[in-house]
Amino acid sequence: MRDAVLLEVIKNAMATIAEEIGIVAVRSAYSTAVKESADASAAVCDCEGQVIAQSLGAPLMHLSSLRWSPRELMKDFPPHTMKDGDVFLFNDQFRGGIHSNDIMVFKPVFSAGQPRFLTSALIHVADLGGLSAGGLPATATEYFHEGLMLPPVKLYDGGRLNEDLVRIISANSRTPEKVMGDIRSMVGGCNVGARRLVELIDKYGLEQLHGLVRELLDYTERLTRAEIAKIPPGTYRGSYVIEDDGVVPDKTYTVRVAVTVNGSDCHFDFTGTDRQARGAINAAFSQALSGVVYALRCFLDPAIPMNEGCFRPLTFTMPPGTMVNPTPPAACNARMATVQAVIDAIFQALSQAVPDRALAASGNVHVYTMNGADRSAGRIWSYMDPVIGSLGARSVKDGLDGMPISLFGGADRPSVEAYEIEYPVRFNRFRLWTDSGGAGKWRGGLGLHREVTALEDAEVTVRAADRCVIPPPGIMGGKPAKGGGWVINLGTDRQIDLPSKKTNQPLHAGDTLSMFISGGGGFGDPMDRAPELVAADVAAGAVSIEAAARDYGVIVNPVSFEVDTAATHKLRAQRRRNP
Amino acid sequence: MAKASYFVGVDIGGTFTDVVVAEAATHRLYTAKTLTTPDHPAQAVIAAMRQALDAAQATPAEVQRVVHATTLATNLILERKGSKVAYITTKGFGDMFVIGKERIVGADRYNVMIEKSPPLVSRRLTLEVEERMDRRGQVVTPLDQRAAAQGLARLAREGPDAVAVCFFHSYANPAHERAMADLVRRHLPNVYVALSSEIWPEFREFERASTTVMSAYVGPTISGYVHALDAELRKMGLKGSFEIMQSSGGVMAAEAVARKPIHSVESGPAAGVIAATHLGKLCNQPNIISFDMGGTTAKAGLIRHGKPSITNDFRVGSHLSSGIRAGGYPIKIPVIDLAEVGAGGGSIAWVDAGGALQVGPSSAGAAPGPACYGFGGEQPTVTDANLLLGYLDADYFLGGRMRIYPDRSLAAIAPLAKKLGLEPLQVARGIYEIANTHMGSAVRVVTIQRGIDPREFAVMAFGGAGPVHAVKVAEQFEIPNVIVPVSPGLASALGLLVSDMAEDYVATMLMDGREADVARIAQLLGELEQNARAALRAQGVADSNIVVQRLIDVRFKHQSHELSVPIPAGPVSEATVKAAEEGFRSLYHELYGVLPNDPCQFVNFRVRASGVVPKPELSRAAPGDGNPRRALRGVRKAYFAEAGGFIDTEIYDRTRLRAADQLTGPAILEEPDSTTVCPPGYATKVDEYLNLHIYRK
Repeated sequence: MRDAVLLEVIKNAMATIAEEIGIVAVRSAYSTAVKESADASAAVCDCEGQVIAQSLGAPLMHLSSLRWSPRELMKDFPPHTMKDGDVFLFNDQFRGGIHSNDIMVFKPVFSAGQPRFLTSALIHVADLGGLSAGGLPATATEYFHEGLMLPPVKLYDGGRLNEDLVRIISANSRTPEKVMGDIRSMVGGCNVGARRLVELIDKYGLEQLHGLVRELLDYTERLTRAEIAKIPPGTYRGSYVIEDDGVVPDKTYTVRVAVTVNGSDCHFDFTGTDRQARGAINAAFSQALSGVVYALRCFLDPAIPMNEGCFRPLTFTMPPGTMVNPTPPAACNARMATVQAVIDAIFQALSQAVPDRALAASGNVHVYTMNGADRSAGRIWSYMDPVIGSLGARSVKDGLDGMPISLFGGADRPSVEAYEIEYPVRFNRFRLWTDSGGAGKWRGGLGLHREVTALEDAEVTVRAADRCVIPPPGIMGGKPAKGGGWVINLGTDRQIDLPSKKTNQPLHAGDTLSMFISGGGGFGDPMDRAPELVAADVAAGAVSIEAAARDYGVIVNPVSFEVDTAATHKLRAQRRRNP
Repeated sequence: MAKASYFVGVDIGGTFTDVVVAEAATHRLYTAKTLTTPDHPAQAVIAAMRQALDAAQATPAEVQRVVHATTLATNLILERKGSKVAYITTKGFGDMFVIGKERIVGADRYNVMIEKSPPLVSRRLTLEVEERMDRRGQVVTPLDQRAAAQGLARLAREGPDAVAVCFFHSYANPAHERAMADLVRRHLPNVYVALSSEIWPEFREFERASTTVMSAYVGPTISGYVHALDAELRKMGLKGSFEIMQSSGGVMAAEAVARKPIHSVESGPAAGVIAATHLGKLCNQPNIISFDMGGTTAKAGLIRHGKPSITNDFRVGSHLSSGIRAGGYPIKIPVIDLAEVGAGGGSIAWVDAGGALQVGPSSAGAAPGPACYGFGGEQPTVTDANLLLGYLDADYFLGGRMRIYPDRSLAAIAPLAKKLGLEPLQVARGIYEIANTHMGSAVRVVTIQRGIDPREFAVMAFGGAGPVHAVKVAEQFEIPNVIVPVSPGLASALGLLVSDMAEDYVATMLMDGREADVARIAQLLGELEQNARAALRAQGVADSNIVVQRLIDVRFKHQSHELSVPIPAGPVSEATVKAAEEGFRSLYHELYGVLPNDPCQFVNFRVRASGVVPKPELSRAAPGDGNPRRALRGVRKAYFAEAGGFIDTEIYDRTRLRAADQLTGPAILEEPDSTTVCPPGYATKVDEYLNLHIYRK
């Protein structure tokens, strides 16, 4: 009883420390993506690289990187060579990183002259060079195009700042002050975390603390295993097709997975997944694994703590040179195409074993970065604006309008006023996109329509991760959502339809960029959807009156928004005869 | 004419309505407590007031000031029983609330069946209007009055009770919102109108709009209620002023409520923190963690250097998920920063799917109440556990005025015990401990998560159930000292009597620190101050009693999170601007441990004007004979895990304790509105205000 209480105390204390690292990093960050939408993660691990706690408020898409990277860091800098006051930077995507702009910071925490733990943080920093300002060059074909690569390097050596490294990073950034500000904010977070860990060591003693941590990880492993064991044993297969890589025309890419549940063990085999793409849609292995762990956890008890214990029952086969484990010089910044394909392939596989958790495919991320056409030093401005497509329909309910899969941490939208105050742009629209959710017994979440006008000459890099040409499909008879897309000056004689990925497209002052972000796929036959739900969707503007008839066979009165029962009955009967 | 010599505080909580009457001349307090009447809250108010005034042998005409705290606004929002609100905004952005702005945190991130908070306003009740300002407040697109009027005609058919208007960048120029308000008043003559540029003109559209919609949502009901209660009080014979507590810890005249209804949200909890601040000052303890446990929730707040912490990032109706505020709706007005957990005396214990014992967040509230009340509640609550553990006395609940039944508690806990394979008393102990852990997480949020060491603070415990749990909550953090004021169950009502009037104003104006325009800042702060002073004067405060505090929200240029920094009194000069910048840098360093050399940016300007009003003093008691046995009422068995089970525990009548008395635990100190548990290993001493100080021996 006593130990159970202490264990709970340590679990909470570690989670609080990880959370605090993240809060400090976000609150003091400079990169627009981080400060307006909390694109940051943090963790505490031990000196074997075992994750003890991860920040609870962070989106999950980065968290596996903070699980794999410390091991790689310690290959180059074994713990016994670390000094108190060391701080490391790292972003190598072939060794646990994600892509150039996602920098990780690690700090060893010392007690009695030895490193005992590592605190870590990861945020999307402002600019590290590469083809386009702010990172994320959509059409990169080698990592050299994506910005400065950092193998594990020391930013602080025993508390002394490595000025040379600062000079190298600054010289490789279009916005050196911002990028160093972002790095400093992560260092600040890791420092605070380290201070808290030292307090914890002082309070409980190293030996007892290590014992409790061991028990915490073992306990989490037991919970995870008990949950996996509830899934009927067997091998379940799934696959998902990615529409393009933004570089090679007319070529699709398929992620294939076989999930084998054997008692309390779970193996993920990606053999058969396509070779890595030339374009930037590859997912560095730690990124692919973030998708794997997220997808599996959606089939387990959500309350299980997130630490090493969760990873222990899992094994992976990720053939090198494929989309899920690319080798140099692969570009990886548009990786969410592959990550979400991994997730949907696993959802598809595990839904066969646990049908009540089934979920249709969801929309993917659309991100654009905009920068001023004047790129001269000191003049350049750039920002990043991510908008994420909506959740697919679920086995017992609709998807969520304007809310993505929770891998992304919800919908913490940037403030339009804050963007307009800082950059020469004006937003014209941010609305739900009528009829964009896949029809079904349960409707997919509605996608989004966002529009921004450049007030100065500018350049825009657009990056729809996926699901424009091949929209998120429905399941169990549900229909696909509408695919997304990018258009400049929509509906004018200067209209330009952009491909899903385009780097440095010029915009003249006054040009307007429209983005349509796909909704989620439908679940089940739309002819089985309750007519009242269809009518409510029409009244709310989620479904047009035409689509109600066409996709659902429901006739809705355009004034009262009531169902014409007789006409609906007739139309549905007719549809069922000739689908 | 009768002498106006009494002060009255009225606090409506989820379970009880509390009244404290202070007699100015004698410093004596008279109290009353009645069950809240949720459908007609004024009923309980009037009844409790009569009771307390009778005890004081006073008449309503002798009352100088009635200050009232109410949970009405909060309840309207939580129960979604507010007005039917229509929302008018800039063209292109009508879906803002339907899309929402919600973070998913903690375990919810792995839950594919998740739901989001329902939108504040549906698409059907939303009107987009052709108009646009830029960030400087320059008109980009003029307001299309004709189209707006047509839109209003459509809205009118939906029959809204209230209209909220929020246009983009209206904080920089309210002209379009004001023109829209005129149109609304013309086309929908009887609806309540709230403009974002008046409610809280701070940039960031979602939060400003949400604050405005929330104002409209509670506005009609709150102003109706306050006016009706005012009429009742006048009918009763009240001649003095009638005021409402605000979420900021300041009070406002009742007639100001129509103008700023949302400010009455969280007013009861704010009053509790004000009481803790005041009592802390009296016993030279400026650093306090206030711990307020009532029937439905427990709340922890932080008072540093004699000042309660205030947040501008409150989310009404949110819950704490893994220590992070999730869900709910943002309101930007100043709110006393409290972490709240669903663990109160009425919180229901249950067994989850995994076979683990859980406590809360559902509560039995006032009806049906805990099982032991015998009002028909059949589910076991924290109060039932406390009764079985011997902490509460069945024969002395509310000073013996209300009978409670241990056998009903036992019957309610028995099914849980069976499910868990435990003895009922083991379950009761489990409920007590789990509730303590929950309450600990609230303390953690306001201290450790903010980088503050809780050991440097004393816990001030109040609320009916607070003193039963406080020592065990403090123990989790090695907090050395717990203070329990007199009548802890009525502390929030007491807080109402010791609070000043306050008006808060804000304006957004971005300005680089290096190029700060001192004249412009002086003008802006001057305008805000004038508005605040005028508002206080209108509420009857004399100029000489107004104290103004000014703050600037500062950030490093290119950052997005500001810190509020107070600036010195006196005319705004270069030195003032410099002080703001330096204050920001040192606060930033304190919070984040790094000190960038970057340029600063001023973002928001805030003014709080306080109107100092007459307050009752608390009486000091002369020391007694030092022998607390005069208050000894008897001995009963109470459960203490550290003593290995039920042990003989001395029971004291707290009302008979005198200053300088000392006693050692285990002891239970009873008074009509609360019970204090002093566990083994602790001692208690009584100070000159009759506060209990409990410390480790």
